[in-house]
This record gives sequence, C-alpha cells and structure tokens, in this order.
Amino acid sequence: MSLEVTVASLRLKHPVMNASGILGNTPGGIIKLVKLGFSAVVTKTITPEPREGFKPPTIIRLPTGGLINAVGLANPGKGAIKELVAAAKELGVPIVVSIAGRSEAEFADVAGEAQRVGADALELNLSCPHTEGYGIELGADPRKVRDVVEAVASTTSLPVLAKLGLSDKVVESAGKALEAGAEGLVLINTVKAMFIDVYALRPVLTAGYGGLSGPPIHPIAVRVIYDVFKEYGADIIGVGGVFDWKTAAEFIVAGAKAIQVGTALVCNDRVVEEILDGLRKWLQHHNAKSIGELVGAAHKR
Amino acid sequence: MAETLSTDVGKEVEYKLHKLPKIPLYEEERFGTLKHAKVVKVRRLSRKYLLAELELIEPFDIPPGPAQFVMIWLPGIDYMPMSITEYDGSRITIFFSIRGEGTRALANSTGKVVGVVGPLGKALAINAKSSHLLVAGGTGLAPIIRLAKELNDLGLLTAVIWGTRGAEDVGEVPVYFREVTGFELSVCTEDCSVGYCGRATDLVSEVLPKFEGGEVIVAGPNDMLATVADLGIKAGTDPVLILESMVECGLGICGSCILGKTGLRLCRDGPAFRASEVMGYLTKYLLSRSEVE
Repeated sequence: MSLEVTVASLRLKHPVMNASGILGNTPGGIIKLVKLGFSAVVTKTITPEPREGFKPPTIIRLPTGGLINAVGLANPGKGAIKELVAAAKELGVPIVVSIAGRSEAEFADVAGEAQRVGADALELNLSCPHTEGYGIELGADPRKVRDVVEAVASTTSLPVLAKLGLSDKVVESAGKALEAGAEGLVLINTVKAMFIDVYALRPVLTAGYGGLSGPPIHPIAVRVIYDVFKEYGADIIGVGGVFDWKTAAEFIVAGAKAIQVGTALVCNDRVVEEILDGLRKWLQHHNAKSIGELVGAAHKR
Repeated sequence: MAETLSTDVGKEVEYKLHKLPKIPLYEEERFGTLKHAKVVKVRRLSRKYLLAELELIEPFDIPPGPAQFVMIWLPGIDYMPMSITEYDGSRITIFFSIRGEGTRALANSTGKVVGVVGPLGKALAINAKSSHLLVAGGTGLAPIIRLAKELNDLGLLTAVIWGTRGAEDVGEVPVYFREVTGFELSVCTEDCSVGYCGRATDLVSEVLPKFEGGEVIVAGPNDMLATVADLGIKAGTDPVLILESMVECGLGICGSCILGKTGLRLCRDGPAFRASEVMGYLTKYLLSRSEVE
C-alpha cells in the first residue's frame, strides 16, 4: 500500500510535511527536517531582506497545551533561499519556500528568487499573527489575498499555496486565493493569543501577542478545512495541532490531501513515522488503496 | 545507587546508574513548561565567577540529569540557557560569569522571582564501567561539577581539569568545587599565576596518553572542545563534548542552535555529543585556534 499523494502538483511519497517556522532557516535545519522523515520540507517564511525578529522569549510551551510563539518573522532574507533549496535537493526531497512581504511586489520578489534557484513550490504566508504589516490583517481581507496571490501566481510557474489563518472571512479568502491562481490552500496558521505570567505581571513573549499552535487549535483547523473543502473541494494541506495518526486522519476526512506538523516535534522526534504507521493501518481498516479515497470522506455522510 | 527518572511523553523511564549500557549514550529527552524560582542567594566565588542559588516555587516535572540545562527568564531583560550545576529537589545552583545584560541582571536578582523552563536537553547517561577524565574551560565547569559529584560518589573519577585566565578568576572556585564534589580540582591558568602553567588543553595532552580506555568528558568554548576532541580521537577515544551555543527556544524547533550540516540541534539532540558526531561542525574552531597560536 502506498501513502503517495499529489497535492497542488506536488508529488509526495507520503502526506506529512513540516509546518513552516520549524527548523527551515538554515541548510542544517533542512537536513534535520529530512532526517525527521518529512516528505517535503517547508522553509521558514522568507522576506526580501533579512529580519532579526524579536528578542527571546519567542517560543514557549503553554501549561494549557501547545506552544505560543512570536518570532517576528526572523529570517535570513531571500539571499539564503539558494542554499536552503540546495540542501533539500541534495537529499532528493521537494522543498516549498514560504514567503512573505509587506507588499505584492515584495512577495513577487521573493517568489522570483525561489523559482530562480529551483524551489518546488511557494507557500504564501498571508497570516502571520504577530508581525505588523505582514500578517493576519492581510489574510482576513479577501481582496488583499486575491491581489497578493495574483501578483505571485501571474509571475511564477511554480505551484502557489496560500496559507490562511483563522478569521471570520477565511472561507471567502480561500475562494479569492483559488480564483487568483492558488493551486492549493494551507489551513490554518497559528491563532493570535497571549500568555501572561502572573508572577511577573506581564506577557511572557517579548512581542506580547503570539501565535497559538499545537493540539488546542486542532478542532479549529478541522472546522476551517471542512468548511473550505465543502465550498470549493480544493487541494488543502491541513496544519494545526496534529500530533498522531488520528489527528492527521481527521484532517484528511475533513478534506485535506496532505498534512503539516510543527508543534508535535517539541515532544516527539518520531512523530512522522508514527503518523505514517497509523495511517497505513487506518487505510486497511477502511479497505482504501490510497489516501485519496478518504479525502473529504466526512462530507459524504 | 538507583535513580528514577520519568519523562513527560507518557512513559516512565527507570534506570540504575551502575547498570547503564554504554550505548545509547543518553536518557530520553524531557521537557517542561514555565516554572518559577526565587533567587535566594548570589555568591561571588572570584572576580569572574558567580554562583546563583534558586529556590523552585514549583517543582520540575522530572529531576534534571547531568548536562541538562534550563532557560532562565528575567522578565523584560533576557531569556538565556544556563547549565544546572547542583540540584537537590527544591533548589538549583547556577555557576556563571557576567557576559551581558541577562547575566548581569541575574547577578543582581537576589530576592527576585525569575522564570525557569526545563530541564532541557538530553541527560548524559553515565558510563558506569569506565573511569572518567573531566575537562572544563571557564563557565564550562558548570555541568562538570554535577558530573564530578556523581562520578566521585561512584568511584569513577580520575581527574578534573579546569582552565581559566589567572589567579583572580580562580578565587574560591576550587574550594567550592571540593565542597560539592569531595574531589580536588586541577586548575590551569593561562598566565601561570596559580596551578598548572598553561591551557587546560595543554595539561590534557600530557595526561591523555596515561588515561587508557577511559571516558573523557569536556565542557567549554568550541575551540577548546575541538582541541580535546582532536586529541582524544588521535589517542583512540571518542570524548563526550558538552557544547555551549546560542539557544533560543530550547525546544528543538527554532533552528538557532543547529550545529551546521550535522543537522544536530544543540538543545534537543545535545548538549552532550560524542566528538565523532560533531567533528564536522567543530573542525573550523580547530583551524581558527591553530591560526591564533
């Protein structure tokens, strides 16, 4: 039995990729992601120029589960894409370059560099919840989503994935992204949140606000995937709180063709392997020959 | 002597120190959420080195093992990795020097509550079938103190070599070391003002040929680790290196402590590694050092 999937023209040997923001900012980090077993690697979000980001603490575990982070889109700038792509190519693994910008031109600029150096796909970060000018306000505005996706999709031949976060207009934004040329959607980004320390009487993250990830947001992601799949039947990569095969399978049944995993790596370096073992048994249970047969299965009831 | 450790990934791990196999080298990795501790005392051991005693307001989820570290949060100032020097169930001791804003603030934090995340990293499992040579440079002594105590209690300690600049930096450090470990520290000073005249690595190169088949564990700056690793490998051993570097999240996901193309994360896969695992990363420090000399 094969776990092979094709999502937004990306042929993957299995459906589990890493979520952007996890380790994908150096060649060594890309090498680690491949060692962890991901079928494709996604870089940290890259902007045209390098960004330092916020001072630590930038990522911290929560007593209520999951993580909160506000890294501030720290990244090495578009000049580093080449060596990230080269590291993935050397290991024979497809690489998706996550990109962001303050304007359509900045998105298109980074996209151009990614294509030039041989990336396999682009993921547009339209939903970073903690960095002013880059973030969620973009993804929550369907017209802006359309404009950015169009600006990139019209100048690249690479598959374009639009990563959206939770907002009242996420279904509408997803529609605009598809209309504008996105081949797939990545749902969802972290959810804007805050963690306050009751001894220090202040937010723990230097940035104050941060993005919540991990199991606490999984049901939110399931709902968004379900709604968007129902509306458009699009190619969806589900992300948010997957930590085992069941939470991954739930995304598939809601409508996702592939899955991204991030926060679970904090507890479990074997998470990819464990998800794949579980998915194989799950396919057998349903007498399914491929993941594709179960994508969106919850909608047939 | 038995010690029971548990992890937060749902499994209880029980091990007896004297029955540990040589490989795998490490205990399972363990993590924690933000806890709080009161800085009860900061003691100056010498011009350079200080000792902070922290009383845990909330206990660790699992007891820290050798080589593990914590992130210390000084609200509004810094979030920094610190090796655990001593641990007694309710208190941890941090051996440090003032290197920046965060460590300066820690030195002046007596009576204050700070955040503590940990224990982080993998605990170093002691090889109970071997004698040990421990080597430290500067604040690299922090994890070595803990190891020295455990190894001396087990009768497995041959020597502990520590290098620093001069007598003013040495101060009461050897006295403190003896208090905690019951073992004598072999001090090396670069200005020859006290103890062995020269670098710790010079003494190591003299001692190593006589130390056949034992474990060598080193903590300190990268150039020192590279030198001892090189000496060790040439002498037919594979030293354990406890690395220091920029750790930002401590959770293995931000990528700031990746050790070059080894793909290893200091904070999750380490901080202790066999020299052979990380030589690819450390070689550049070996070269830069020999250029200076």
